[in-house]
Amino acid sequence: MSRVLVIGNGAAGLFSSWLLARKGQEVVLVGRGTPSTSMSTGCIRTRPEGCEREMAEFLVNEHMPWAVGARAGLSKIGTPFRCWMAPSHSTWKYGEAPGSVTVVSIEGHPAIHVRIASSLLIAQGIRAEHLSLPIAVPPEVPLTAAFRSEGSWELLAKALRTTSSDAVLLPAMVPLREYGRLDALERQCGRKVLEAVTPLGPPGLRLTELMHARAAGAGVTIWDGRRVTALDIKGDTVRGATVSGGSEVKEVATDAAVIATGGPLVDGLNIKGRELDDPFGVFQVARSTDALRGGYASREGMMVRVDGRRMANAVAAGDCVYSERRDHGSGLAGALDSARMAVMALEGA
Amino acid sequence: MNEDRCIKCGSCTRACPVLNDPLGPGFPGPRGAGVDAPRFPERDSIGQIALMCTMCHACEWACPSGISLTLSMLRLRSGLNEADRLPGHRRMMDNIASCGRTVSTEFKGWREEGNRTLYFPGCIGLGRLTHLTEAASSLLTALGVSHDISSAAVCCGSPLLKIGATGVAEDLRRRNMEVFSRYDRVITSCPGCTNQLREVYGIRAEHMVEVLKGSDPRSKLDGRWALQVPCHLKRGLSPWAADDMASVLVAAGVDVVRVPGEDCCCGGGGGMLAGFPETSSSIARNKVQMYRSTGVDGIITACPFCSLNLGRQGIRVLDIGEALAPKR
Ligand SMILES: Cc1cc2nc3c(=O)[nH]c(=O)nc-3n(C[C@H](O)[C@H](O)[C@H](O)COP(=O)(O)OP(=O)(O)OC[C@H]3O[C@@H](n4cnc5c(N)ncnc54)[C@H](O)[C@@H]3O)c2cc1C
Ligand code: SF4
Ligand code: SF4
Repeated sequence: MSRVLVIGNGAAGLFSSWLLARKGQEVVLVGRGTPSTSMSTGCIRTRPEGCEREMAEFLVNEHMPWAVGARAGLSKIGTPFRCWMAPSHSTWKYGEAPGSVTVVSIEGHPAIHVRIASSLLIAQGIRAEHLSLPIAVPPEVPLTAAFRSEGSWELLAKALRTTSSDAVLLPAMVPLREYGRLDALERQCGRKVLEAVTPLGPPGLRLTELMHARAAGAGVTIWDGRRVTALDIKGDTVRGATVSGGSEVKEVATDAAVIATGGPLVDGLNIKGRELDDPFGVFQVARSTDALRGGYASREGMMVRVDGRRMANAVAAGDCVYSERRDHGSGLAGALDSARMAVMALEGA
Repeated sequence: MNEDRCIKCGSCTRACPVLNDPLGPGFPGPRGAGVDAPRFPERDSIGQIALMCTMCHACEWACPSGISLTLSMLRLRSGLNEADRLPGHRRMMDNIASCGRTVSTEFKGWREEGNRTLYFPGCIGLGRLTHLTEAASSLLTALGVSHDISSAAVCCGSPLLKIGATGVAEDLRRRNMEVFSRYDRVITSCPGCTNQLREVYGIRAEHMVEVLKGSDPRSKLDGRWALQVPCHLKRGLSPWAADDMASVLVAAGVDVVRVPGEDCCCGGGGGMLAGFPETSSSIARNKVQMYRSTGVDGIITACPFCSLNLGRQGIRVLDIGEALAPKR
């Protein structure tokens, strides 16, 4: 058994840790801050190329069932959203759109935009009405918090029974452990309950929480809230890292490293002038005219030092890796897939 | 400061225990108080509501852009008008003026024997929770750490910084440094004190959890215990020390139940306990309800503020020092 240090607490870091831990490696995952994974819609938009089976196994969860296949859903402003794997209430089977939808808003809260949503639904041939709940929630307050009481759910169910649509579109507000509330609500109101597909909200947080629990369950030691500030590299080998957290700094030794630090949005890569740059100051970064695509270069699966030398025990995965195929919305599938390839490359090393 | 790096993702607001509490709305949130307010000083002082924050660091921990939100909010506090001072905070300052501590002192067991180690219990341990201080002291003795408990040491100044009284905090630091100069080692029970001594005084104070880590205490505690992981231990001092808190207890034979949310704020920090007692106890009440639903017999923590605030909700709360103290 050997020690692997995984840097980054998003989809790529968590999936690769889980894969490595299942193979008996001793994995420490270091991550700081909210990953892009938590900011995403929590829906996997494109079909991952090579890791469907492992991914399905990785994402099983007792609280939140997934729907898989060609799916469609609606965003919080009513735009259509197509995807491949989503929490069961986020989408319907492609081609089976509801004929009418009631958009539910909460007074004073920007979680859903009823007017825009209704008109965009009508433009898609879906009959739309809207319902404003008599609960006032200040804009900064997370809806999850406002809907913690049984009372607000009862009020919601009662209001939904008065609508005449086939389906209702709710703002995303249920945390992972309470996902079952949407099933209960569906039974209570007799209408299909749809959760608006929303970035920067509970769906992404649920996805990360789920992955986190899976990785921890497989035996990964998770050092949350800590940042790797430097790598100890001798020749072509990563031997350890400097990790800081709170007011403490520690040196850790490792036999291999997976770098899954995300893109420039989460400080995984630096932006220097108009170019991307390696914050560790060690690895080659492949540039691209498209900011979404640039990232760490690799040769036969391994990372490459600035001086052109191929690393013996360091691989990269996720948003921090150069990818010519990365488009808007393909991030999660790409991150999972590249995590699997990174783990394969390490095994071959 | 680095507020201009904000990408408006809202991760901080989702992590904030105050905004997530039914009695929290009114607080502008970490983004409002930590990012927007300092950038728009022309909007004038945002007033008392800026103080409605427990300084738990959850927002800063969540921020993908690494913005120093708590520091930014602390600066805002130090610029508050005297007229904006909350009644509870005035009381704290009156207490400081009369006895050097934020609450009146009840502790009687001073030890001034010229030992090289100083045990520094902090204001709550000397005022409200003297049993905590007695237990921690007897545990230290059992571990072979001979120590003084000095009546000359005063409040560390951390709560004063939190309510924006920087001048008073500096005064206290000067008084304490004179006392500390007589010792080689300072041990605390309150992570707020430990942080203050390390960050502001520049002395390598140790928190009780750090002392316990190197030793081999045994516990005779029965029942199942959940943890309240203190904010200033985990997100202030060291996330590793927070991990050690659990492993020390498990190694000592305590039946520890890990529950999700154990590291969320109890509501007692940042001057909230005195400044906004209703919101503070609402956060504690909801947290205790969560603990009760897991069927544990009580909670073990490592911070006097957590002990006090959660204990007031009628659940059994022990400090780690009490959990591991030799039976008296
Ligand atoms: C608003 C938004 C919406 C999106 N919506 C979708 C969507 O609907 N579908 C989809 O497929 N994709 C979506 N994406 C893209 C997708 O979220 C990302 O492509 C994917 O999550 C990347 O995963 P990752 O693991 O590579 O990086 P991340 O999830 O960003 O994780 C990297 C983590 O590593 C941490 N880190 C960086 N440096 C260090 C260090 N030195 N030490 C420790 N930790 C470090 C970072 O702070 C970060 O938390 C969206 C992205 C955003 C921002
Ligand atoms: S420190 Fe805690 S209470 Fe204060 S704003 Fe940040 S998350 Fe909220
Ligand atoms: S988490 Fe950080 S970047 Fe996001 S809104 Fe809050 S302060 Fe801004």
